[in-house]
Amino acid sequence: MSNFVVNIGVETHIQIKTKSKIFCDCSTEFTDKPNVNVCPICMGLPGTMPTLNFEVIPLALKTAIALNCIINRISGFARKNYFYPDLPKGYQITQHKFPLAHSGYIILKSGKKIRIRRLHIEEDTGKMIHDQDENSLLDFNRAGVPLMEIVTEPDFNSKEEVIEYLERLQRIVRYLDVSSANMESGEFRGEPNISIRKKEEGLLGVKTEIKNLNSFKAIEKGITFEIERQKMLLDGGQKIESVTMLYDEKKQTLKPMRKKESISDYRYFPEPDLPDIILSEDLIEKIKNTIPELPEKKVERFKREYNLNDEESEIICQYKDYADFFEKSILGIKNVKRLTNFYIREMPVILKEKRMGVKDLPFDSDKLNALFKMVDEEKINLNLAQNILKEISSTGEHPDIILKRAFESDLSEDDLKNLIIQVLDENKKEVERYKNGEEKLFGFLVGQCMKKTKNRFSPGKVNEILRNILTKK
Amino acid sequence: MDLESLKRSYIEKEQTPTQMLDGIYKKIEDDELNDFILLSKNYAYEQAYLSEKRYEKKDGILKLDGIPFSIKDNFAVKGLRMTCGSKMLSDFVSPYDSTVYKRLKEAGAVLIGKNNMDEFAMGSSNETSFFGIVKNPFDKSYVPGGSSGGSAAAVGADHSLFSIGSDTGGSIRQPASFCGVVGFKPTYGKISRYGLVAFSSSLDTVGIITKSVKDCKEVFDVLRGDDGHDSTIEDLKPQRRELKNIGFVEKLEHVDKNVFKIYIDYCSKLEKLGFKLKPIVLDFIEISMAAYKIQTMCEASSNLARFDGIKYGLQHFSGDDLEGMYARVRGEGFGKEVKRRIISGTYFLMHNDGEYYNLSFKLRDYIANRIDILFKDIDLLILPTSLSLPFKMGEKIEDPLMMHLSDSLTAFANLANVPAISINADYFNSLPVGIQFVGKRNDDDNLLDSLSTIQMELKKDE
Ligand SMILES: [Zn+2]
Repeated sequence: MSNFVVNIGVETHIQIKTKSKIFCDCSTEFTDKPNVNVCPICMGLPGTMPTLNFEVIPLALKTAIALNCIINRISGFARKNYFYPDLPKGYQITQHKFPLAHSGYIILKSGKKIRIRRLHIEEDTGKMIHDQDENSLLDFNRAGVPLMEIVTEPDFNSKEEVIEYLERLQRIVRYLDVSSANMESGEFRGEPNISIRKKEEGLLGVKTEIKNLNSFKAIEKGITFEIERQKMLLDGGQKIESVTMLYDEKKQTLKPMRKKESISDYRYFPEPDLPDIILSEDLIEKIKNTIPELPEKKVERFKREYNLNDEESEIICQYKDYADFFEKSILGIKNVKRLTNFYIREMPVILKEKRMGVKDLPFDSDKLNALFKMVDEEKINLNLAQNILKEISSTGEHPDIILKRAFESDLSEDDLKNLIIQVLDENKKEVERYKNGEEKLFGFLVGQCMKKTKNRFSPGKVNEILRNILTKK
Repeated sequence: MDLESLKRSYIEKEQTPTQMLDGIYKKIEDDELNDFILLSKNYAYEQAYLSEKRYEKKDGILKLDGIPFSIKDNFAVKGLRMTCGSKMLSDFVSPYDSTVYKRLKEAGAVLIGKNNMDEFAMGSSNETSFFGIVKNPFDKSYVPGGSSGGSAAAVGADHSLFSIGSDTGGSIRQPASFCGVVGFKPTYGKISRYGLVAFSSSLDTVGIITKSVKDCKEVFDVLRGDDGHDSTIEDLKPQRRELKNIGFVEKLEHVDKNVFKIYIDYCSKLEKLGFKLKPIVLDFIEISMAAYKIQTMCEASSNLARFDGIKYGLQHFSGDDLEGMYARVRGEGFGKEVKRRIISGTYFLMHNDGEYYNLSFKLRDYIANRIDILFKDIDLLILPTSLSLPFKMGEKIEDPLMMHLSDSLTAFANLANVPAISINADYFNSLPVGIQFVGKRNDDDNLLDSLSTIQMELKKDE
């Protein structure tokens, strides 16, 4: 086997989050019913004309700026001409020679820079479905849905790099709130193109493209299969042909699609029905100011400011609203480190159970902050805090109320005294050491008492009585 | 009859819109010009009835109330067939209204029917229509011109008071000239193209055919302006001024000598009316023909790609694979001239990453520039509308090169985005000959006002 270098470039189609389609007023909302979000314009009926939905421009610009792109002050639409049943007009309106932006980059964790060649906007096509009787059915709900296409240079050398790039890209567009970027519903589609060459050869090999990859796992597998396929061909002395491979999720295989059409076959030319997009410095400046702190920056800052490790910070910063919730809930907290686990373990469990995002929780960050303050001020221990959180998450009540209710117990103060004496008996050694001056053991004893009383008394009360007994003894 | 006197006749109860319709439909039947592909009698009588009510009440009378008009069959009218003169769309019923139709309906005008035309507006004699040749109202053995031949014939034969057509390289002005009527192509971007089936999107303009320039202006004011559906609309209003200086040519290649004589005579009539005539040289006609052909063919090849037999129009679903189905539908659905242009356009676009198309745009800029320079010294440019007299059916159709020459005096106005209007100048052997006035870009209002005055002044002399 020879030594091969792998080069991968990635084209990503991302649905831009707008209410209506890019060239008509139809809704972009996803629905299972076919052909309901359609009109004469997106169906390409004779005589209809596109008009640009200007909502898409600031959203695409935001992305371009976040990806460090150069913005073209003048960009324009073009027609990409080809025949396919899911293409209503016989051409797709896209951008060709004058994309919205170009020459950006994303930096991977390793510090490696992935160059972004271009970012342009275009309309999606419809969908062709084959039923069991081998009929071809067409659904045009997606036709005219606004997309951004982001194309990288062939800078990746492994599938891991590709996945990291796509995860970062997905996180960025979600942070910017320009796309929901869910892969399953087709809002975020990555298409790698792959070429391999022998190490000693300087030029890039012939590339092939993989389509129909609907998850990160599929992308990983697709790339692995294709690299293996190309290696086998080259090792066997065969040539790689420029083809588009189709990934089959069920069979877990790749099979070649039609021969990749050469670029002149698309017969691109400027779209005469749409004027150029001219951007003022003013608008670009305005949009720049709406860009929030980007995920990479936030991860680093959280590590620094809250003393989180890399993994913790990555988890907390995965979604912007989650990170924001975190930051608000730890306002004024001295020992943040102790509480981060709530965001690594407890909160994800709650969100997963309830299948919701933080903004849909029955409690807000202020209530969580109140809870954290109790821990921070050592009024309650972590154990109790976890239980209270569970209760807030189903009732939405303020932690004070829950705490109060918990301590309204049927036990009397005498019962508490007895329980404490019992605890002290069980921990004679520690009591001895405390009396000999090891002050910090007081906390330990409080903890033991709380456990014994099953959190039915407030820490303050336990404190008070414990101290009384210890001084008397 | 003109718009004003027809409206007056309704107001003074000399006749009703319904009676008017009766007369028109009878005349259409009697004349047998084949100028309509479809007569929208149900629609028309319904509209006429509503119009009548308004005239009876003498309240809420609309701008074009009860005025019968027709529309070229490449405009969408909800619920009516829109064939574009093609087999491809012979059964297609539009589910939506074009802006032009919508505005006319709102102004109270009554749609008589949809006019015959060259297939997808490609032709200059109305001989490429799937629905048969239209006959010239002046002599039935002659063509009416094209592609808006049905529209021009209808107005010429009093089958409608005005007709809406489309003009990509002369498709309104040349048939207007052949049928002895007024044909106006505004500056690109004045009237919304929404609902007009695209032939060449960057050159297509909606235009108006009438008996008089005055009527034309009235209809134009109803149609013009932004509709939110056509992003190329830009209806700038010119500074009002009198147009005095007219540029004319002393020599013209390939022109019929009788046509040229009428042209020169017309120029001297203008001089007598007090206009200043200045000789100019038009040396970009040949360039304009090259640019025009490349641009229209390229855009047409793309615009007509949607007719693939999938969602509407001619369909053949059984038996074929996908490619076979496309070939069968498009092979059968399109006529010879349309196929010729689609194939040429596809070739031009494939060659060297669209180099031809880009070049055609450079030529357009050049021509527009030359026109702008010309208009520094003149206010109007006058030319024959067509190099030839109306010709007989079958005389030129087999000679595509000759057919293409028929656009040569009109296409440059589309390329330069300037307004132009053809009006009847005279007759030769009882066949009408039109003269074309070209104005400055966005100077449509001044052009129409001047021409309206000229037309009235010259009528007085007759
Ligand atoms: Zn739509």
